[in-house]
Amino acid sequence: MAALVEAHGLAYRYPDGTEALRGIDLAVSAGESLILFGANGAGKSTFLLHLNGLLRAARGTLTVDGLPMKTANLAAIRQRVGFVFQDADDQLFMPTVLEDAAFGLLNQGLEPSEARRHAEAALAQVDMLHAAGRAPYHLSGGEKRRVALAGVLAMQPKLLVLDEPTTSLDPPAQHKLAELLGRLPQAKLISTHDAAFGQATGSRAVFFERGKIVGGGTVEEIVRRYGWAASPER
Amino acid sequence: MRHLESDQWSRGGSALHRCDARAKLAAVLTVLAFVGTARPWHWPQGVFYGSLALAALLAAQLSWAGFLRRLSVVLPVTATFALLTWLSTGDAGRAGALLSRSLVSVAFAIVLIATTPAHALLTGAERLGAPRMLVAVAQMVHRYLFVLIDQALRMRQAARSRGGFRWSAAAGAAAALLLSSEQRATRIHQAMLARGFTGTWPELSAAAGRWNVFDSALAGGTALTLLLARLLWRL
Repeated sequence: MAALVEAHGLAYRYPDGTEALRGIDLAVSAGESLILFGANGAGKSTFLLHLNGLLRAARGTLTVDGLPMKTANLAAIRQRVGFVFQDADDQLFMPTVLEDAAFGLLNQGLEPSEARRHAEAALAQVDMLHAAGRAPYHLSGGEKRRVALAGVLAMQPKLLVLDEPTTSLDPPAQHKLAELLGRLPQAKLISTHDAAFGQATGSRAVFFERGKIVGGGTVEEIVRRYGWAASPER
Repeated sequence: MRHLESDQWSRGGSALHRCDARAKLAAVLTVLAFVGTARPWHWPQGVFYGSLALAALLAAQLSWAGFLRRLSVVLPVTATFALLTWLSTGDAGRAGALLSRSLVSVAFAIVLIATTPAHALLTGAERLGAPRMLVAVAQMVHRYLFVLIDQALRMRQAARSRGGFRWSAAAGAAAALLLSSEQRATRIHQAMLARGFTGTWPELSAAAGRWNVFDSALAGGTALTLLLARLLWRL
């Protein structure tokens, strides 16, 4: 079976000269949940930003669902890749929860009635339909995160990309998010520092170090090999 | 996001709220054109246009307190110009005309803004023929102005928690504010692009962009009423 995401030798350097990615090789299959571990600045977020063309690699190739990453394919790729950003406040910019969930659908050219129907279904999927008419800034951190997720689920992507999804979430909200992600059939790429969350949501993990993937395996193996558990002996 | 708070006001359920943004925009532009060209401007003109503004305010079912609060933002500026006019020309009538013209114009602008969400208003302007680039810039300014305010409030909170703000550090703080706002704006823009943003703000309302008989009545009725008033009574 062809991989949903295939990256070969992906390299990226920020304008200030920081070499963020130094040859990433990675394949993600449909339906699998891959956890990205690694220290701050190791290149996880930079790699994720490549997956829907927000950053473009200087070297290497990237294909998403068989589509090579190039300008002509951007709209189709962004339809397939749902990106949930680290700070939900950056992602929720419409006046109401429902309008925010429908934002991507309307950009795809759906009729307002159709977009509303899909957006409501996505909000129901994350248990946030009751807040459809509310302003996003009135929600709690966990609720914002779920609404941000609904905004990308509404677009029915094949791949969900989540950058540090547990940031500023309390343990019950983290647990609820892990449960929710477990129910979703899409392939997932999740960058996190939280070993427990990674173990609860991932089927496989890779470890980033200075712009490279230095190890891969089951989540438990990676956590053990790189001492990534949040235990006192670490 | 504080700008969303201000947007809530424009989401009421009055007949004016339900009208197409183009109709409201056309009606208000017509009123402003008539207010600006009314010669002479004495008390009958002031009473006539003031009554129209009052009618619009009542039709929009806005809160009086909110309306007066917004009006009071503009009042000091117009009052200063009126006072300067009075002092420099000695013509109290001219100063009064300046003040009442300005207040009536602002009242209509407030009703328009208070009954139309910002992005709907700008989309309406685009549909009326405003250049797309200009509208896109206005939409971004509206969006990012509040990012800047939000960021400034966060920085003020951080400064207070460490003993307060010092004027000597103002230049550095302003630079830090602009840099952090730019970074945040970049992240927001990325989030918009990630969900297929193409430069045009989408409208969820099924009625968006649909012109109905009430819209024709509002735009056409306003123009006709003002034209008749001008021709018959020089208002």
